[in-house]
Amino acid sequence: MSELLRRARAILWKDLLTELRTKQGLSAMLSFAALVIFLFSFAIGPNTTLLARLAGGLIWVAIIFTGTLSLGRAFQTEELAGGVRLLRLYPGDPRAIYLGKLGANLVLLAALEAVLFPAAAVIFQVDLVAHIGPIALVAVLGTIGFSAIGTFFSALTVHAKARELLLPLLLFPALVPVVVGAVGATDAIIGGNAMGRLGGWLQLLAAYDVILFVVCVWIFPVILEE
Amino acid sequence: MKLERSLGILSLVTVAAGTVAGLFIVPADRLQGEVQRLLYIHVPIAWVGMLAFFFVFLMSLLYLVQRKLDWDLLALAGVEVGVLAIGLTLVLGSIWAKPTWGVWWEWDPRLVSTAILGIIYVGYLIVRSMSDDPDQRARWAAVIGVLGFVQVPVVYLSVFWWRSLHQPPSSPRSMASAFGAVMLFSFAAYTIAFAYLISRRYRLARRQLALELRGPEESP
Amino acid sequence: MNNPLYLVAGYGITFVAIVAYLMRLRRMERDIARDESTADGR
Repeated sequence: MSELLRRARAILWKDLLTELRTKQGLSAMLSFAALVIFLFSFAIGPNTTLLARLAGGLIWVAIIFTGTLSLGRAFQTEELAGGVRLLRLYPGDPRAIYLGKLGANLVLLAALEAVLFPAAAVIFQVDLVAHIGPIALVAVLGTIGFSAIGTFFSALTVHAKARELLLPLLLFPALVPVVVGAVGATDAIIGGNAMGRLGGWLQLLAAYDVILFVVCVWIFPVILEE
Repeated sequence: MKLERSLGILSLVTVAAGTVAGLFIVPADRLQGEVQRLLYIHVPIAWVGMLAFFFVFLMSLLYLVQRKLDWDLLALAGVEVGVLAIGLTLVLGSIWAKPTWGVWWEWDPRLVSTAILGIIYVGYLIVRSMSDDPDQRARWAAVIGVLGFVQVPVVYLSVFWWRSLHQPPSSPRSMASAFGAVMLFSFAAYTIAFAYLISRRYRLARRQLALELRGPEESP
Repeated sequence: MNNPLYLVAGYGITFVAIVAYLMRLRRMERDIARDESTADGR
C-alpha cells in the first residue's frame, strides 16, 4: 500500500513540477476561468441581486469548464511521448498513475479555486469570508468528485481522435450530481442555510465522492491493459 | 436461428395486437383523453430502455470478469436497442407532455435521468469507435457500461433533490390509473421485441467480428 | 388535449423508428453476407 502511495506521490510531483516550470497551465486556467465569469456576467446583465443569487452556479460552471480543459491535458506529456504504451511501462500498480494524476489535478484546481472564490465574492458582491470554513468544505468535496471521474475519463480518452468532444460528453452525465450538490451547497451557504438543506447537499457530495472514487480506482487498471 | 425467427414473429404479433388494443379497443381516458393512448407505447418502451441498460451493465461486468468477446457483443446489441428505446421514450414523452402538461420539456427527475442515460449510451458507442482491436474496444466499452450504471441512480437522486428544492413534488404525473391489461400486455410485447432485436443484432455482431478477425487479406 | 395529431405523431414516429432499425439490420446482414462470400471465394 505504501509502495502504491509512494509511486503516486512521485507521479504527482513530476506532473506538478512540469506544470510549475512552464507556468503556462495555471495562468491559462486562471485566465479562462476569469473569461467564463465575465462572459456569464455580461450575458446575465448588471443586475447585482440576480448575479448574487446565481453566484454559486457561476463559480462552479467556471470551475468545471476550466477543469475540463486542464483534465484534457492531464496525460499530455505521456500522450506526446508515446501514449498509453508509455503509461504501461510505469512500474508497479497502475493505480498509482491514477492516484498521482488525480492528486496533481486536485492541487491545480485548489490553486485555481483559491483565487476564483475570492474574486467571485468581490465581483458578485457576496460575502464568502464569513463562511470560509463551509465554503472550503464544499470546494473540497466538489473538486474531489470532479477530479476523480475527470482523471479517469481523461485516461480513457487519451487516444480518442475527437478527444475534445468525447471527454466533455463522457464527463457530462457524471458531473450532474457534482454540480447539483456543489451549487446547492454553495447557494445554501451564501443564503445562510435558510432552509437547512446544506447537510443534505454535503452528504450527496460525500457519498458521490466515495462511490465514484472507489469504482474508478478499482476499474482503472482495465484502461491500461495490454 | 429458428428461435430468433419465432421471437420475431411473436413480437410482431404481440406488438401489433397491443397497438390495436391500445388505439381502438380500450376506451379513452377520462382525464387525459385520447393522448393517454400514447402511454401504451411510451411506458413499455421506457421500460425496455431501463431493461437494456441493466442488460448492458450485466454484459459489461461479465466481459470484465471472463474476457469473452461474446459478452461484449451482447452489450453492444443492448446499447443499440437501448439508444433506440431511450430516444423514442424521450420523443414520445415530449409528445405526450405537450397536450397534458402544456410543455414539451420539464425538469422532472425521471425525464432528466432518461436523457442523461441516452447521453451515456452515445458515449459508449463513441468510445467503441476509438479502437480497432476487439479486445481493447471491448474493455473500454465495458468500463463505460459499468460506470454508467453506477452514475444513473446518483443522477436521479440529485435531480430529485434539486427539483424538490424549487418546486414541491406535485408534478402532474397522473399515470397511476394506467396499468390495466393492455398496458401489461404491451410491456410483454415490447420485452419480447427487445429480446428479438438483441438476438438478431448479436448474431450480426458475431459475424462481423469473425470477418474482422480474418483480417484484411484481399486487395481493395 | 384531444388533437389526433399527437397520437398520429407518436405512433407514427415509433413505427418509423422501429422499421428504420430493422432496415438497418437487414442492410448490415446484406453487407456481411457479401463480405463473407468474397472472403470465402478465394
